[in-house]
Amino acid sequence: MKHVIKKISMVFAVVLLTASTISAGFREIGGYVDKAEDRFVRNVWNFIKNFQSNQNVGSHSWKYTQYYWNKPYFFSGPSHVNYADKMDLVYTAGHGSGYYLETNKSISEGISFSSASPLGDLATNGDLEFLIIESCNTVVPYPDDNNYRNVWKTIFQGLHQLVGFRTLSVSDNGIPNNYAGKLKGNQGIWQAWFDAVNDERYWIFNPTLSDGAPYPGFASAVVYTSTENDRLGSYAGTDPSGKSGMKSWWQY
Amino acid sequence: MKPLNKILLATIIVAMGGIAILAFRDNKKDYRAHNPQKTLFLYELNPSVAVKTNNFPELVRRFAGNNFTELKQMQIAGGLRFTSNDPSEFYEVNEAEGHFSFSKNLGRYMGNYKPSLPEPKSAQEIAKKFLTENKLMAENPGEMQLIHSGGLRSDDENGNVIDKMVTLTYGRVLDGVPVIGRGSKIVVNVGDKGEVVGLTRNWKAFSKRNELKPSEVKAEAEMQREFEAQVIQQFGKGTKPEIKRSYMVYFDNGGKFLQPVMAYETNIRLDKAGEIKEFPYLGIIEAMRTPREKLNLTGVDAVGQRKINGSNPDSKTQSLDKED
Repeated sequence: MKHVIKKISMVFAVVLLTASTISAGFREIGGYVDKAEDRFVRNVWNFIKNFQSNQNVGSHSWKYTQYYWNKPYFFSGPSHVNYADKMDLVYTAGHGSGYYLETNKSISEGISFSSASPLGDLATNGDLEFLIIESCNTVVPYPDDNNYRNVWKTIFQGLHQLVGFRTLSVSDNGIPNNYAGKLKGNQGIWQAWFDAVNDERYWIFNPTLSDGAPYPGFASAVVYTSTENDRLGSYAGTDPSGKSGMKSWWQY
Repeated sequence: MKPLNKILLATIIVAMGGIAILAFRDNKKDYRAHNPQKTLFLYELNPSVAVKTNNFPELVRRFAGNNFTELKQMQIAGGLRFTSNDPSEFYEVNEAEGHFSFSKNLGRYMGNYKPSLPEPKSAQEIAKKFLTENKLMAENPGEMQLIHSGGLRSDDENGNVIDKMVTLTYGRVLDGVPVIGRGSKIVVNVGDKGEVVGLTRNWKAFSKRNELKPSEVKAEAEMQREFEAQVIQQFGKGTKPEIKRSYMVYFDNGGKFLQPVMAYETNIRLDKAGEIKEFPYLGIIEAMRTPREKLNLTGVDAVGQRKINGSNPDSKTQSLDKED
C-alpha cells in the first residue's frame, strides 16, 4: 500500500511540476502577413525565423506557433481567441493608417482597431501581451491624437504593450531581425523596437518621407506605467486594462 | 512655296532636330547626371574596427560603472552582449560588422521623470566630445554628417509631454555622396544633464577606393528599367510608380564594401477603393554591372515563402510546425 501511495504521489508531483512549467514558461508567438507585396512576408519571416525553436529568455521559452496570411477575424469576433489572442506576442506587417492595418490588398480588407475585440488575459479566453505592428501610421500616440486612450482602450484588456510607427514607415530592411535579436537579449519590448528603428535611420532625401519623417519613420508605443519595463524574460504579473495608467512613447 | 511657309517649315525642322538631339542625349544620360562628384568609386572597408571583441569588455566597464559586476554576458550571432536587470541596459559588439552599441540603465527615465536635457546644439557638442574622448569618432570625421536631430518623448496622464532624451543621428557622406544602409551611422542618445546614455556605432573606415569606369556602371535608363520591373514584381502588373526623386548613393550593408546604388523615392498609388490608396516606396537598384557583394534586398527567403504559402489559417487543426 505504501508503495502505491508513493507512486501516486510521485506521478502527482510530476504532473504538478509539468503544469506549472507550462503555465510559467512556454510562450507563443504569431506572425501575420498582409497579402500584398512580398516585402511583408520578409518583414514577418525575418522576425519569427528567430523563434523557430524554443528560445529561452529569462524565465520564459518563446517559439512561433502561427504564421499566416493575416485576416480580420484574427483580431475581431469569436475566432480571435484562436489566433491573436491565443498568442503571447504577435508580429504583424502590412499597409496601415491611423488605428488601421490592411490584411489583403486585392480585396481592400483590413482591421480597424477602434472596433476590434478586446485582447489580453482579462478578456474571455484571451492571452495576448505584446502586439507589434510594422506598418505606416497605425500606432497612434498622444501628439497625433490626444484622444488616443479612448480609442486604444477598446483592445487593451490585459494587453501590455502595442508597438509600431506613428508616421509613414518604409519597411523591407533590418528592423525585424535586429529587433528579434534585441528581444532575445532580454531588452525591453518597446525600448528594443525604438533602438531597432534608430539603427536603420539614414539620410538620402531630405526629408525622406512626404510627412516629414526621416527614413524609416518614427516609432511609437502605447503601454501602461505598470508595463513599460516588460521584456520577454519577465513582465508585469498584474494585467492592466482601460485608460487608467495608459501612456504613449514616441520618437520625433 | 511662299517665304512665310519656308520659314515655318525651317522652324519645324530645326525644332524636330532639337527634340531628336535632346532625346538622344537623354537616352545616353548615365549615372553622372545624378552624382555631384561625377565619379564613382568602390570602397573597400577596413576589417579592423574601433571596437573589437577584445577591447569591448573594457568599454563596458567604463560605461556601466558600478553596474558592471551585475551584468550577464551572452553570446549572440556574430558577437557578444551584456545584459542587466534593467530592461533598457545592454552592451553589444559585432566586430565583423563594425557594430557596437549600448544603452545605460534608464530605469529612472520611466514614469513621469523629467530629465534636464541640453539644447540640441549643446547636445551635438557633448556627443562629439564623448565620441572623441572614447575613441569612437569616425576615423575620418569629415565623412560624418548630422542627418537628424530629434529625440524621445512620452506623455503623462494629465496630457503633459515630457522630453526624455535627445537623439542625434550621424550619417556618412563621401565626396558629396550619401551612404545608405544599416552601416555607416552613429546614433547618440543624450539624457539628463548632458549624459550620453546610449550609442550605436555601425562604422568601418575604408582602406582603399577604386574609381569605377563608366563601362562598369549601368546607364540610367537601364537602372530605371530594372526599377520599373522591380515595382511590377513587387506590386503587380499595371503598377506605375510616381518617381519623385532619384539619386546615386553608396550602400553599406555591413559587409566588406561600399558600392554605388541608384535610389528611387516613389509613391505607389492604387486605383481602387479601400482605406489604403497610396504609400511610399524606396526602390534600390545596384549600379555596378557586376556588384562586389550581392545586396539581395528584395529576395524572398524560400522557407518563409513556402511556409506562408502552405499555411491555411481557416484550418484550425493545421500547425505550421508539423509541416516541416
